[in-house]
Amino acid sequence: MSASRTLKIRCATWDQVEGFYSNKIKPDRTLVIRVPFNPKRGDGITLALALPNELVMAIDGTVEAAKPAPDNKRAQVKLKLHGLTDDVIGRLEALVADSRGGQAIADPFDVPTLGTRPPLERHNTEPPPAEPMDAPVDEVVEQPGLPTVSDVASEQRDVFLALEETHRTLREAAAHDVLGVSWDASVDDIRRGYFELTKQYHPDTFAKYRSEAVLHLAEEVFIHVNKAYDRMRDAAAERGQAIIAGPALLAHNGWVAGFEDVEDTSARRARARDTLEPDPLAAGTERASQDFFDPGLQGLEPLEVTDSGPVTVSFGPGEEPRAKRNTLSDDLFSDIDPPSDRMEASAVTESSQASSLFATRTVDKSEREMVRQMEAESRELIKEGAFEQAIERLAAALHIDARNRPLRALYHVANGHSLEDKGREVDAMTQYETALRHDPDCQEARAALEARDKGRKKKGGLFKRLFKE
Amino acid sequence: MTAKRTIGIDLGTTNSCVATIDEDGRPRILTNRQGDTTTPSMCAFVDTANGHPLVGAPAKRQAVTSPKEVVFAAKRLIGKRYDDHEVQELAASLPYDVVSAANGDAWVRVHGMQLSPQEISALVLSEVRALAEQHFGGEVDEAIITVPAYFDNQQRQATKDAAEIAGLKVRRLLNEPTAAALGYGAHRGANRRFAVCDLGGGTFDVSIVNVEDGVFEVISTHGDAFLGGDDFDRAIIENLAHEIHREHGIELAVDAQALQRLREAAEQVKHALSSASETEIALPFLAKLPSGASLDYKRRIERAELEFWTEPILQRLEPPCYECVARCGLAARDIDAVILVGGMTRMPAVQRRIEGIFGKPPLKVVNPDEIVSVGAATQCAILDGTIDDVVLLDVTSRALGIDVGGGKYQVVIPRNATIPTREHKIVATTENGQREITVDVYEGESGHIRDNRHLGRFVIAGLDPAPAGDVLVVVDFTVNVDGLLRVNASELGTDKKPELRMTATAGLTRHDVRRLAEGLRS
Repeated sequence: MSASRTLKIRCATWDQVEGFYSNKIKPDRTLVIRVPFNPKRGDGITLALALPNELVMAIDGTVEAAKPAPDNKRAQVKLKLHGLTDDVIGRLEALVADSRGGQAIADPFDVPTLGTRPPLERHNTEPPPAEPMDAPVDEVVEQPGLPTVSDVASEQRDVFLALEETHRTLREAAAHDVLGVSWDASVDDIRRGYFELTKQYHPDTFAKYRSEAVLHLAEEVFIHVNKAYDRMRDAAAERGQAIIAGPALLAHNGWVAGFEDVEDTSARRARARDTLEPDPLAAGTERASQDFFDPGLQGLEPLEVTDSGPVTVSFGPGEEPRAKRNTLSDDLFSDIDPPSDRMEASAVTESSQASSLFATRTVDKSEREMVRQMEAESRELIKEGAFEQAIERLAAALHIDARNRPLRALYHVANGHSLEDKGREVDAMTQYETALRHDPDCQEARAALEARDKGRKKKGGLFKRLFKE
Repeated sequence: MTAKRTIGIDLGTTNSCVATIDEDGRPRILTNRQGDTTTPSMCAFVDTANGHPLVGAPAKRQAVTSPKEVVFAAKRLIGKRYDDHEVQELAASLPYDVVSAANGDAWVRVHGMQLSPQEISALVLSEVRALAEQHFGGEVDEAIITVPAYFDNQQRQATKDAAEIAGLKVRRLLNEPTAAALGYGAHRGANRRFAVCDLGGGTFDVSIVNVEDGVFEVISTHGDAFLGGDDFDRAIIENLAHEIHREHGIELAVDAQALQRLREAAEQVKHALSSASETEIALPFLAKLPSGASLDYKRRIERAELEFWTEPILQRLEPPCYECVARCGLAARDIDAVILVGGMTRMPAVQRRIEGIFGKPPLKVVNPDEIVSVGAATQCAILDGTIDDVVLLDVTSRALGIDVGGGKYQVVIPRNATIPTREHKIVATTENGQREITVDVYEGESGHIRDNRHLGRFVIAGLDPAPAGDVLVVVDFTVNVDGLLRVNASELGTDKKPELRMTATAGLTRHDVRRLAEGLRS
């Protein structure tokens, strides 16, 4: 059954989409991703890139190399994306540009740079000949879109809105996040998590409202829950933990991966640092769970901001981000996919240089003072409402002290405010919640969340439930 | 009373039953005009004063005199193709004509008139609907209908269409084993794993239902499509006819009238011996003896005798049970409780046999005919929110897939996926300027098209002309809570929704259903 798989990657925001093709894909069109199954070299994996506008882009790929991930539980896979042509990137770019409200492109297929389409043959464009009169009549299948709140009677609006929010949240989450369990959860935990969601979101529990729209949306929500469960079931079975008290298993095609499962340069760099610097906060399970409880935020990771370079921080010698990225990623797969001799030599020297840099990179006293000062400044900036400046300042501070959790929380708060200013309230909410996850004592995040709660009726979304833990 | 009434209907092969939940929360089984809780699922197309066909017990009475005009067991034909081998086998044993409809579905022919099994079921459903309306004294237009767990997409859709023709909106199609467990009250007890053994008129179905924290899951289902009460009747008839032949030298098999009388007597004997240890059969003037005198047939039958005659049939109960349990990786001893469903399970020998298989006595159910409809009625209460903390889960009974060209087949939705579920496939144009893409949907797991069952053909139309492979269409396959397939298509990379048509290959079209519903109302 492992011949060809579909790996779904959900991009919740257009920023993530941009991050996908600009940061996550290496120049040779490869991608490194952690997956919960064990593919072999040469296996076909199709990436289904789910875009924020509900479209799905299918990108064919082949496994070039696979080895156990550093946490030794999942596999790390190097994927050659031959389906990712310039054409596809062009489309993605066009869609991102469109979403930014830039030059509106009605049809991304008609982007002028893609003008390689051969002229059409005339005779093929003619409509097909008319069917004989006695041919069986085809039935036109109605394709209802997602219901909107205007389809719902006023007394059910609250239920509907709560469902809508859950739906949005679930779309972004990876399978285990949907169920509210860790990705290597035991069968019992998977079932428990699933049953809890079942009682909450099974369409039958919404039948009492007697509203088609509510029922439809509940079904959409529960489809996500079910798919997550089926995937987790399969994963458990693949690990040899069969669910006896469940339907007999058959491998399901595809896996719902969270966006964060795709390696990007900054994440890899951070991990490299973790392994060199033993730190209880960042090591092992803590690291993993932090990764996983951050769905959909990596597009906004501070370290990426430094990559694109708007922050004024002085880099140490040999620390140009791009050079380092290539070095490290090649290093990661050097045992399987050896580069040419010359390349190998340079890789070794550069990587040793890089590791020595990391090894000495502890936050010293003066730096700590600097970070503290930057943090105070950012707090002021947030109070003043200068969020963009605060983000820059915080990103710079985080570059110095990457694992300062209160600082990171503050960064998310600033981000959230900035998003709220742009009217992207749901995204902002996620930012605040992430902030709290990094630092439960973060006053700013609490205040922001409370302010938002006051403005609106409280709803019991999935995140709330996750939060209680 | 402003609240809408929903009734639970067990639409059976031989008998149907309707139940509702009373104001005090207790289930109530509605009785028909004859005072019975079950209504035979039969329609007689004989000359009546008002021109309407007879339904239920009056239809059953016609079976002796006009066997070709009485249609029963429509449930075994519904949603099936005429060339299906099961249908062929069945058609040989049914007294009425089974024919092939224009689209290849199995239909019946009475008086030269072709009728779909959906219409027959609709007549039965409107009969039980009338019962409910009489009980409530008001209109009833919503129902929960039970279907066997192994029913496929077509059979479920056809059942739903039948209800629609009868003017009932189906709130849910419920799996019979789940309904039986619910009807037993499993949601009130501890976590248990039930085996539901349903021995009805024509089929034997075994299902394993897991009840955990108020969540019901059918985890395995298996059965014998040709094992049921009819086989027991036939065993009695054959033995008696053989005996008569030996003693009096007359062949009853050629005398349709006598055979039908014997058949009725056999059914009575079977029922009587479930409680009594012996019974008497008396059929005056059964046949003419070679001497010219008439045979007044009289015979005492003991329970042990019946059990001896039916031993080969009883043995056939075992394989489906073991298979069903093994399929979900369990052993018979892992089953916590056994629920018996269907009138045939009243027979002590059947109960003993099943006790032997599972190693524990079956749960005492007062009326195994009614338990499924009680479950359906309970589900009404769940949907209305009166009972909470109970959820019924279902899985797809078969894999769904599409033709990917060259006789190859690819599964889109695997078997045993929890429903509702959705998967997608991306299809591309293969020719320059192609305006339509045809997608054939099949049911089954085999890699070769010919081994799978064709469900329907969808045509994605109205595509913009473009070079081959340039137009990509995402086809979404959704299986909803009722186990019904819905297809959606959208063009990849744009917001455009191409037109999607379903060609008339199987089942009734929406148009047909509406037309028939209007016909039935008038």
